Amino acid sequence: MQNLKIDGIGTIQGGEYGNISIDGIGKCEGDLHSDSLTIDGIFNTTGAIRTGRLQCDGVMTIDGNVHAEHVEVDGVLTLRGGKLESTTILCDGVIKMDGQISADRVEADGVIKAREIVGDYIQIESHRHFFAIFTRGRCSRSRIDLIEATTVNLLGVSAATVSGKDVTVGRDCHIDRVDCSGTLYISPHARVGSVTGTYTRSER
Amino acid sequence: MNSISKKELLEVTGISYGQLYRWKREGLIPEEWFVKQSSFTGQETFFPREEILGRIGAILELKDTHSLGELAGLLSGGGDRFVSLERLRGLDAFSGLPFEELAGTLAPEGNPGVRETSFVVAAFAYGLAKISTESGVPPGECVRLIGAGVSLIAGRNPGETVCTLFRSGDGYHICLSDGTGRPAFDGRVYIVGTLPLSDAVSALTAALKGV
Repeated sequence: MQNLKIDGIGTIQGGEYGNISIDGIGKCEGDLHSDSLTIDGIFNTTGAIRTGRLQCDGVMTIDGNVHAEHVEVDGVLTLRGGKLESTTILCDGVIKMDGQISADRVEADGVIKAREIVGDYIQIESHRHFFAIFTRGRCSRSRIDLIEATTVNLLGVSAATVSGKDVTVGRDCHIDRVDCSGTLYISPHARVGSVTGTYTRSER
Repeated sequence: MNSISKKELLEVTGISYGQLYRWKREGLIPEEWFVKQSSFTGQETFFPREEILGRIGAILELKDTHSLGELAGLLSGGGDRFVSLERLRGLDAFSGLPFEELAGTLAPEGNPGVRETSFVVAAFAYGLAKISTESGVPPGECVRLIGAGVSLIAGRNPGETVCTLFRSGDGYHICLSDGTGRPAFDGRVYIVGTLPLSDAVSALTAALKGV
């Protein structure tokens, strides 16, 4: 399939491609299927994305759903309404969306704002201050309504509900409800509303 | 409808959150089955009990011998509907038949432990069972005919396929044809009934709504 590279300003038609690389300002109308999609500049699309590897080093805004094998965000990825599904998601930047993230593995050192994050292993360690420039001075905490996975490790995260088998609520977390069915650690520097489930408390 | 909560589902089946969500992403568990309802603890997710337990059972049974992609094709037939055997058990048409034997003929080939079958196969069985019991075909014969027919209808267009049930001598047989043409038999063959597969699909849909 055809590879595509935009170095300046360009528009892509929806369709099937090999490797797509946007180094400038790109726009797409329609659904995009590709082996890989790498954004180093700015990219907006009104459609859905289905790709093997999504690399966002710039600023990407997507209206539809995103389905990938591997997602890596070092810049800012915004989904306006869709869901994000991938086997692995690495985020050192910002992921902002209203819908659900579903992945086997999520590892974030950056900031994630989503309605739900579900999967097998979810680790979010958001550190204050560093991301102020990306979040325009607003609070740089990750905020998620529901985090649900087999293993959950959190630092600096605000969530309404956290559900999992092995759960670690680290410092600076604000969680309303924790439900745990395996081992649970809650940092003395975290705020947790209620805890339910059958679990073993771990004292780090 | 009988529901089961997500939490109870994980406890009963022993699967993990990771497995549940991975299988949903792979299309093995339909998104529509995840139903959010308000409960006193907030929002909880519920599933149709028989369907989800049947599906999880099928996945656990097949996952070591099939890739997830193969499972998606096997279980949802590329978008075809799917029905659990337990739901069929309650239908009148099957009430006079040895159900476990029937279930064995309906399960996917080579996987007798799977308690689900494609909707088209279930509809064929339903329609044939109805005609058979109304015409006095012995239950054992009916199950045998259904078993024979299941392998014959694989790959056929349900919109065009018609099944003719006939008796020759003292044996019952079925014959499948396409379109509006019908087989013509000699005088020693007695046609018991004809079953357009599309009618059977409608009849089964209606019957399941009433259950």
